[in-house]
Amino acid sequence: MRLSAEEQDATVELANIGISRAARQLSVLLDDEIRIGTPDVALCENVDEVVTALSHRPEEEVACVYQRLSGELTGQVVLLLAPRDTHALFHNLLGDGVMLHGIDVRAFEHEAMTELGNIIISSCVSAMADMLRQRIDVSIPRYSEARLDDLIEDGMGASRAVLLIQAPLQAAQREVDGVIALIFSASVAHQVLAAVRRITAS
Amino acid sequence: MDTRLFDLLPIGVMALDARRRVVAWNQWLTEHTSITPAHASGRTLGELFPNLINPRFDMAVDQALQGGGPQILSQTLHHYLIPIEVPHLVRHGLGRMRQHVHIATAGHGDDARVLVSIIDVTSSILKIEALTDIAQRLENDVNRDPLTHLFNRRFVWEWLEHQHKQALRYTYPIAAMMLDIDHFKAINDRHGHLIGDRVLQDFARLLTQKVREADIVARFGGEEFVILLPRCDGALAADVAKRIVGRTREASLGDLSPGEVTCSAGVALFNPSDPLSTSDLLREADRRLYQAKANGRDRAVCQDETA
Amino acid sequence: MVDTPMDQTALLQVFCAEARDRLQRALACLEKGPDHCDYDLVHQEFDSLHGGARAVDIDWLERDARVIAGYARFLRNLGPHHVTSAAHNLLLETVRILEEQCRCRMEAPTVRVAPGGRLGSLLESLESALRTPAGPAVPLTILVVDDSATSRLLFRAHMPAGEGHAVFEAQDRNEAMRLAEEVNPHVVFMDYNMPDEDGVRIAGRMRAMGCRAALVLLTANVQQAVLDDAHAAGFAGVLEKPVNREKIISVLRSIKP
Repeated sequence: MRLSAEEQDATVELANIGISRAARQLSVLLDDEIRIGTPDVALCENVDEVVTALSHRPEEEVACVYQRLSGELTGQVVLLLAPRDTHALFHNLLGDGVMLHGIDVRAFEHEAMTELGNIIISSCVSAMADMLRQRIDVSIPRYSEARLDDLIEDGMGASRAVLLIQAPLQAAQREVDGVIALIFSASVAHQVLAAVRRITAS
Repeated sequence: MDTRLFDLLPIGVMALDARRRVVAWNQWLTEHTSITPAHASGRTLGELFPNLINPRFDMAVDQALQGGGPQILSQTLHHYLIPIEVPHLVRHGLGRMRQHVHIATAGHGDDARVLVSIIDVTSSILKIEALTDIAQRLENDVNRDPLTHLFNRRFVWEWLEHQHKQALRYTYPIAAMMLDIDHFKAINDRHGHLIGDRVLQDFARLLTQKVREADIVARFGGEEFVILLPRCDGALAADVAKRIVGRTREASLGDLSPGEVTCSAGVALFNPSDPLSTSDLLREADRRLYQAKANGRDRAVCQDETA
Repeated sequence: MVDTPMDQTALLQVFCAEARDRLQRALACLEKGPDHCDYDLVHQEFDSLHGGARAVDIDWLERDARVIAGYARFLRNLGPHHVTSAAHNLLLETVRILEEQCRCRMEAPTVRVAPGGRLGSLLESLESALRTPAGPAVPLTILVVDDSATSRLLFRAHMPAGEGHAVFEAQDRNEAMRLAEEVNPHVVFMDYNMPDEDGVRIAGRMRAMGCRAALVLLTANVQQAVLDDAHAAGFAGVLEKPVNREKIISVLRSIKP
């Protein structure tokens, strides 16, 4: 299954609205202008496709924040964070005054990243709910670390497909420069596409 | 919920209406803020705590009201939502209670309610800080180099004194390898000290990967490293040295391209049948390292090559 | 005001003849089209008609004439070349039907008739346009510049209906420039992320070309920095995506084209 030109256009628009909302919240949190690029959207049907699209190695350890969706849209959203990006972001958030070592950093980092992941996911989900005029309930965010391929495998579930959304993100005055990657489980992807088709057909 | 049950919760819980005014305020909050439910009722957090300016909280409430689901404010990024003094903690650098905040909504439009839960996480921060102390003590271990976590010069001498006696008694050889990163000063000048430090750290990691568990890897000073290999003959030590030199050339240390960082090595052998003193052993390894440098670097010298 | 039945009949005859003339003059003027119509004259004719109808107690005509006079005054105030054909045609059609009805009903002008029918709904549209303060009082010509077909579609879908606004769409810079010249829009909704050039620059080109439309930035990115940039570039407002009817109405009200 491939996205038609209309579906591609609609999902990019949807992603752009969601990520812009997230950027607005992040700009308040970081007290800095957040620059975002045009999102890239792809429907991937196997682990290799996702890995290639993300330009990571499959065995790479990645951090992620995930939230379950229920209501009119059911499934799972995963926000991927490359460890290098998260370290940079984390140190920027806390400032150079807090240079911590070892175990403790990880506990703080997980906490901060869960909050950031929550901001990004809920911004995207609320934009979707607005645009699709649907009610979506979201679970509380969970943090996890896993091999990239295992994580995608889990996200694919039985339907063997995910909607992958990526967008570059930079903070204007800080050395924060990374890529937001959101993976929607196939069930969500199909429902979003169906809603998008209803909109584009109207 | 039954108000009395609500008051029994060991966390702070308040409910706000769609216009952010308090409609419920539990006992925990009253105890910790001295603000009664009657006083809180109908007021916004900004009115109750005039110094509280938290745009992130306002946005999180917006986000939750706009269908974004539950929101969290972590203690890492915000420390606290409501200022609650905890006087006896000042000496730990924590004058105020650290709070994990959870925001959820119910209902829609004018009937919407925002439930804000405040969880005291000060004690876990104290635990983490205690662990930090332990970690930092490890960092400052007298036998370790803080940058690379390898053994330091002081430990090398201690270890050699001990092993020297053992090797004489049980007649086994010890190989000593001196290594030096080529043109390290130029790397520092060109890429800066941060990259320089990372080159040292990556090189240290590479060395530890190439030796056995019983071997000792140490940073001797600056860009100079020592590996001591007990029960290791000259041929094996030469092989290890050549593999380290080769691997360093191929590796990308400190994110520099492969080939930008090379090293030279000199190997000397303590042979119980013709024993050298510990200082002579290291001096001999150092002399061969110097020969490797003189012969064009990026190589290992494992026996006397004086031209 | 009218003392005897005799006087009233005489007055009515004079008034009916005068009303027919006024309606025909207004109609002739309106038939010249939006670019050549003298809305001031249309306004005066209906204003007089309103006063006359009140004097002779023809309450249905009094109300209709008042609404039409008010609407004509709005179009006059908009200024030349800013009245859309939709706005013009709404008035033209109302006046046509009113003129037709008057010809039939002047036989028994004071008989009460139930409001409604085609004329009733036309007058309602005029009234609702007048009721809305400052905003979409009159049908506007709107240009939406956005490379995303979905975004344009959503904009169109949420555009307030029944107010006769004309919406034109452009998906790239060239089309935007061409339409800005051809349709002379009142309002341009401009997406920031355009493929050939950003929306602020395209808006700058439009201004340089002489386009006087009110500019509204159409964006999901409403960080303070973006709002500041838009304001500095002369944008009169920002419409946050995803769009909905309430947001469009409130932006149209706030910019007062």
